[in-house]
Amino acid sequence: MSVVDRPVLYTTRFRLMGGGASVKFVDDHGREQAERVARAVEAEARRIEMKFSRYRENSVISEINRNAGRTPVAVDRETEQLVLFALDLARITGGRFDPTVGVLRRAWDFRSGKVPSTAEIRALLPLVDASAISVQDRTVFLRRAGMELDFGGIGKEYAVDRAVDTLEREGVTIALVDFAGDVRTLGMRGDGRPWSIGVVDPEETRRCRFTVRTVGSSGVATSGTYERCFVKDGRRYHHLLDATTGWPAQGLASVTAVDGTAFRAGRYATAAFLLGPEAGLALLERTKSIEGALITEGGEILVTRGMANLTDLPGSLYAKYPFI
Amino acid sequence: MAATEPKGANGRLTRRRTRLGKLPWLVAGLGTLVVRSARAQSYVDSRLLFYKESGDRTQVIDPVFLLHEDFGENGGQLDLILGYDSISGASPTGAYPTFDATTSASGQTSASGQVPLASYKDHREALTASYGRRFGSHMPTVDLSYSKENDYTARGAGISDAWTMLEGRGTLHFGLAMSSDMVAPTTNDLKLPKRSVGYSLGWTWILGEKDVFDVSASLMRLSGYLDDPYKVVPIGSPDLQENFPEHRPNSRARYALVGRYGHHTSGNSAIKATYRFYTDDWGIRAHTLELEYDLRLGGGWIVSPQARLYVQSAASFYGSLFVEPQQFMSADYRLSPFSSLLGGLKVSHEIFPGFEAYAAVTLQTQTGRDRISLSGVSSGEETGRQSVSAADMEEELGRQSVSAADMKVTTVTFGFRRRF
Repeated sequence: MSVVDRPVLYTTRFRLMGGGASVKFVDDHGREQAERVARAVEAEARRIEMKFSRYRENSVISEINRNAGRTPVAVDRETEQLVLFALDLARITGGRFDPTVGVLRRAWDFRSGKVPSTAEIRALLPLVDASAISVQDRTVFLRRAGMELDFGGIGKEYAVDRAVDTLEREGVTIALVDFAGDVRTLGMRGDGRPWSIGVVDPEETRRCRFTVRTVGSSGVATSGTYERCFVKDGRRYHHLLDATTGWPAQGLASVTAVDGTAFRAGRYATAAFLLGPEAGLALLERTKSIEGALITEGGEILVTRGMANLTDLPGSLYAKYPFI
Repeated sequence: MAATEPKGANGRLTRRRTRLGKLPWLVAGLGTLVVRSARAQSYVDSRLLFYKESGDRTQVIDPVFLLHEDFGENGGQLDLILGYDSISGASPTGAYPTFDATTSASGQTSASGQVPLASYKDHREALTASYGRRFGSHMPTVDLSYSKENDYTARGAGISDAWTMLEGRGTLHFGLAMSSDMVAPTTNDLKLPKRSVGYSLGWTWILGEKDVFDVSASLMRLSGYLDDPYKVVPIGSPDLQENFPEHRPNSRARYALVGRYGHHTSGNSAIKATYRFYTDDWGIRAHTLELEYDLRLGGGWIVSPQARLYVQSAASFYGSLFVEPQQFMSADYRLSPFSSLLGGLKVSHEIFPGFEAYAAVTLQTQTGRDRISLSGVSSGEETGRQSVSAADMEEELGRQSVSAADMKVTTVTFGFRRRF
């Protein structure tokens, strides 16, 4: 039987999927129990990392990719759900989002800063095709040899939600999970105020442009041009590639989405980004339970109607009354 | 210029500084070399100032129109100053500069935190009238000023005298100024009075043909509502704070001592050096050192480089974070310890006799000395579980510290002066 102690805010940090992971949670069962919870959360995050990383030979993603054009690969329900969700998003975005876009990495090297030729991109585009993914009877099959499934950020966002699930299973009701910028909150802050999530300014990534305030269980995720990018001849080339063209999507600098889960928030942030300012805002606006803020290349902030009251942007409740 | 309000303080105080700058007790103390000698003929001066703080903070567009009418020896001199400030942007609230988390594109970037800001927008209309007339060796002057903005109304009046003696080589100047202001915060329906009385005493000494020395002392007593109604004070720990309204004493005595030396060099150029010491009973001490050089290039061109160093200590009741409530407490960065360095350049040109146009730019870097470290924020009790080394974590989280006083300020001024 666990001993009820005073509530303490614990923090655990570890490195996950190439970035920093931080988990804060409140627990009142003593340090030993807190350590057990922290270990369980990290273990669950590691499980997702191992399972979906394309860098790991024995991950399910690597196996699907190895068998592209050859044979369907049996997957579990969790993997199947993730693939189906990605396909659904590809449909919603008219193919701009595509879980097979990762193959374009052969042409795009954001470290070297080299702009690929149109011919290089064109040669790879036939391998970027969500419609060539078959999901059937708990199997996933990439029908063309050379195709690659890449969950990219999906894995991290999904890991955030799984970490929160783990915390909830352990009886935690107040928590904040932050895996390198993908965030999920749980419950209320100890002082009864909303959680405050800073949204990184794409122009100056050492600071935040505004904050998102969340209450209860909410996922917050951002897609932006300022990671894995380079500037050449005055133009920014970034990793958010439009799968229909193979070139970086234009018009936006970042999109932040809020939803019940970090996974959905992250996917819709990326989808809205790829669609551009107008269509992206419209997507977030019409999608139930999703709210979002888009920062255009020019620095303008566009928000969905519901998002306005989740931020401290000018005109919002939080801007007017900084005491709350 | 008030000590806690160097250029670069937020718009609200910048505006008040503008107003105070017109009052005789300051004019008598600080502006003697410029103002009195300029009163030789009539002119209109019109300028447009752009003021911008970095990080989307305060921006001001401030057109000012000045009419100086000299009615001759027996008629006296009249100054009318009309100003209209358009102010927008954001100002630090005083809240603790951390977030629970930051959301960013996937990767290593972690914006560690940002000073919480509150947005505002306002405009201010101001009118100052000043009349002075010479009576023998005396030059008494009366000033009246009025300004109005959304949440602040200011009324001021002052009298001063410049008493020339020693065959014109020395001038004793002294003045008295009063103001009665009303603060009407937009967050409630209250109207809160604020008053001030200022005294000044100074001596200007002409040392030969090329040197002028000026020393002055001033005292200003403020009373009434001296809080900033939009500032909060965080109380708690770095991880968890609650914001309370700030509260300052309802009186303040401000003392300033200014020494200024001007030297005319060959070619009618001039170098000016100013040192100012400021202290008040809130515990702030400040030093300002300023150098200006007016270089006459011929053809009506004057180039004036300028440099200024400013250092201030904190008010006794200032803190970026309080463990528990106190009678007086403020987290306003203007009451914090900070330093600033300003560099500027003004170029003026007499386009034709009696008509001078000028443009000036200043760049200022302000750095707070009460810094909040945002890396390695410990949260209650750590579980101690870290899969990476501390060095990795520091690199990953970005070892960074911030201060609400940190900012860069740019001003650009365009203007012209027409003598007649």
